Amino acid sequence: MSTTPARPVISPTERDSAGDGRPESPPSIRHSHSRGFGMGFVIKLVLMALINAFGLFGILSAWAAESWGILVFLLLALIAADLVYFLPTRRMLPAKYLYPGLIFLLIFQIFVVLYTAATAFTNYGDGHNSTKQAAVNQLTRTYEQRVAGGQEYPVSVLNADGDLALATVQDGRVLVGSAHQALRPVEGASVTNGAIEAVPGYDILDYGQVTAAHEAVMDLRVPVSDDPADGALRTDDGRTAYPYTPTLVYDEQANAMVSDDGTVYADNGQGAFVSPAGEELRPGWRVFVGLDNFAAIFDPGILGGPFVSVTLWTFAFAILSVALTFFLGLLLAMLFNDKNLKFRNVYRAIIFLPYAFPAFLSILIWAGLLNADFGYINQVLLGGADIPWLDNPWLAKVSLLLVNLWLGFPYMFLVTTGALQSIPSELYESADMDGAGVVQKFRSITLPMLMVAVGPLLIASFAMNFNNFNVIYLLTGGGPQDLESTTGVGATDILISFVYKIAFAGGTNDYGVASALSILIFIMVAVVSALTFRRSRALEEIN
Amino acid sequence: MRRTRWAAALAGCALLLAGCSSVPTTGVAGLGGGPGEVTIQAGDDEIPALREIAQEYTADTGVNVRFIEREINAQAISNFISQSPTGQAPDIIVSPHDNLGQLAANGVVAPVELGDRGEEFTKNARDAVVYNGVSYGVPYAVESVALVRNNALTTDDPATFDELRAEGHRLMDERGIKYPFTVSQSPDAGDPYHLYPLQTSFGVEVFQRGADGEYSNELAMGGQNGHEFARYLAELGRSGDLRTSMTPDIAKESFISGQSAFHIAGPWELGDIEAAGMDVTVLPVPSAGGKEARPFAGVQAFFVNANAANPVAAQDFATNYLTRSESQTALYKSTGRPPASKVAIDGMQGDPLRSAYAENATKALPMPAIPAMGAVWSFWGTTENGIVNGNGDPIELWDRMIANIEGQIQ
Repeated sequence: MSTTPARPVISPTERDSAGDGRPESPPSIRHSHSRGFGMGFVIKLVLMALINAFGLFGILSAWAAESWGILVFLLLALIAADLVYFLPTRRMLPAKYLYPGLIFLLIFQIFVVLYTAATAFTNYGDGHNSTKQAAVNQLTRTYEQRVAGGQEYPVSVLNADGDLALATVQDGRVLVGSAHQALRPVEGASVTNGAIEAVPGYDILDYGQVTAAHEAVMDLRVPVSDDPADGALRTDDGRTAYPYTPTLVYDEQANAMVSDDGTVYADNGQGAFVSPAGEELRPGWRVFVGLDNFAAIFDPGILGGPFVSVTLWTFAFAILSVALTFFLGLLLAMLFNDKNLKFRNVYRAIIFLPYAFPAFLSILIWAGLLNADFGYINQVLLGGADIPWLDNPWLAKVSLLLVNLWLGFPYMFLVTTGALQSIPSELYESADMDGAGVVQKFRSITLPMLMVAVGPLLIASFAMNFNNFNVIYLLTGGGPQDLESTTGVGATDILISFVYKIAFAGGTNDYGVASALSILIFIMVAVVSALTFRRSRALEEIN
Repeated sequence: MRRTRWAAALAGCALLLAGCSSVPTTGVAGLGGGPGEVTIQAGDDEIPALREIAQEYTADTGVNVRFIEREINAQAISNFISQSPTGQAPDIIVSPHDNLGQLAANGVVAPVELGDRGEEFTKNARDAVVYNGVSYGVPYAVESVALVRNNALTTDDPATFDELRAEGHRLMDERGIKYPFTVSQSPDAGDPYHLYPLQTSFGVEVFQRGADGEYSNELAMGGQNGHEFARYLAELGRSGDLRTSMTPDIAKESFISGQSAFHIAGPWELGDIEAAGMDVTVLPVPSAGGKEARPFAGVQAFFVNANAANPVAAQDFATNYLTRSESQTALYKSTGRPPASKVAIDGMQGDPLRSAYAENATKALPMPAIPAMGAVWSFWGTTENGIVNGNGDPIELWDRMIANIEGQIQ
């Protein structure tokens, strides 16, 4: 590598003087449009001003929402953007092209993968949805019990030196109480038509103030009397209060929730409070569980059985889908590659049609066609046959592959047609001279030459089918379900639809296990792609 | 050159304007004050009525009400559960009550104390929003399946389900219709919801109920009665009267096109039936097993987010505005769902079909909201499908289902 630049180098001083667009500057030297003070620079300045404005707005929003991670990321990204586009050095040139792509890569790929990986090591899911503090608050609140026969108090919210109080009218007298002071009558308050107008020593909050002070209002408990059994008033809406008694209290020392009947619900270290009898309080909270989720996936007693069968079927589905579509596409491409065929392009257009229809539509139509009792295939084509296309585990798999073949072969037809035409015809001519047969020519010339061109596309197609959620979800929904199984998994579920069932469908959402499975899918696809890429590079060397 | 400069300047201005206009919606909520707002997530049919109610509320309090239109499905509930702790979820959501167990177990809904206003709702509606002894929501509609009869084909009022089948078969022979009755099923998931009135007529409820009407985790589907129901299902399948491949679309279309005289369906199908100009009557589902056939009641209710951005205003709107009888009537008028409020039910003259559904709902059993129900649905549906399709001995399949569900709950 020589360090001598191929093009004339301009010194910094020359470069500066060239920027003002003087006509006498040598036209052979190419300038960046955004240098100097020409049109390009103005556009760049406007765009960067916008980016900075949005960035600052984002930073302020993150500040207000106390999202420190986002704040730091935005700050760094903004500084990097300004440096990349304003630093006057040539070394930044590649970064100018790469920067936007890198930012999107970080947000939409790297972050998602890292977040999924982080979730895979937690128990995030139904019942473990938030923090411990939130769980304690929610438990305390829902286990507050309205005092039996406790009446309804219409209340006003008062304020005295930042301390909230409740006022209510009873038998024409105004009663006021706060967190430290049980309800008691006050003198000198004025009441009109049952509404409290003024209470000496207190400000009456208006509606806007009550809603703004919601945290303090929701935490306020005003004892009805000095007897705790009468309960304490709590108001949810700022208008009405009811007396409640707490039945479950958090004991910080013991790190446990204590019930009024003496039961102690201790923190079990897995994100839940559990009584000695094994009763678990809901909600719990999110904790780090190490490799538990992965252990659950591989444990035959939990998900192990379905995981193995689903993985095998996923590989079978992806490989067969690619192989079937590829060979059908190739066969048709070779048939229609014959230059003597008339109306070749018309046939090609017809073959291409299934690819032109939206896949969602085709799949749903196929689901209707294959319906066992009402579908067109059984009713009309097979004259009222009773073939359970989607209800028998094996037939459902076959139907799925056939529908996926229908959806996928035009694409393979298209790419192989292109690749076939790029194979030099001299190769076939010399093969003919050497007396090679059709099969020999196909195996020794067509296939290897094709593989160089379409090999990477087959890998991409494999990865796509490995995670082909749409066709599974829309055609069979993963069914027919295994009646013996306790996991709800069906005969045609592939890994990604299995993940969907664990994370979103059914009664319980378990994002932790679903994330762990997603990470495993990621690893499988990555390994398979890496291995096959290496093989296709070996093919390239034949060329 | 000049033209491009203008274009660039225009594009810059457009971008700038776009940036400015997005400021209020993304919201630096913490920086601004103001009267605040309440956000409500509801379906497109509820929002017109809610707008009326909100207008009054805003006039009284100055708090603005914003609507998020979204169909409530499992995905929407999942999103609400994961967004609530971050403070990004709406303050109030509409949901069928059977999601309540999941919502409460995740700590994302706040208790709602209705006080004396609770008395204004039917017992079913009130019970449905109670979970673990705590009341959580404001109900507005109670839906349950009933029997819809096509009066152009028959005016028979069958006393038992077998009489219904006999009448259906008579019509098939004499009038050339295709099915003795129609009911929504699903070839892959089954549909125990629509078959529940038949099941309860054998005295087989899904879970044990305590004295206060709340469901416990004890399954109640086993035993002799369960077996009899399983046998009956197998018989329905063998005779071809019940087909698992009859999807909701096929069932409804067949009934509307006069291919069936009896249709077991919920009130949400009335719109299409009325649009087809049919003369129909709504009847209770007749008993198959001798006891009263009681369908599931699904209660539509408003729930308050436990981590609402504006909790006091949200509670106020829910307990003091949504509970009013005018509000409940407005919700009935805009959604066409049979109301939960007694006053709104009394005001239903001139709507015999929906009144019959409201009457039918009072006898229904609230769908269990306990999380254990999540384990039940899929086994229940696929097993019923297996029995109807004749994939094995009905008793064996039924008992295996019970063992599977119990294994899942423990």
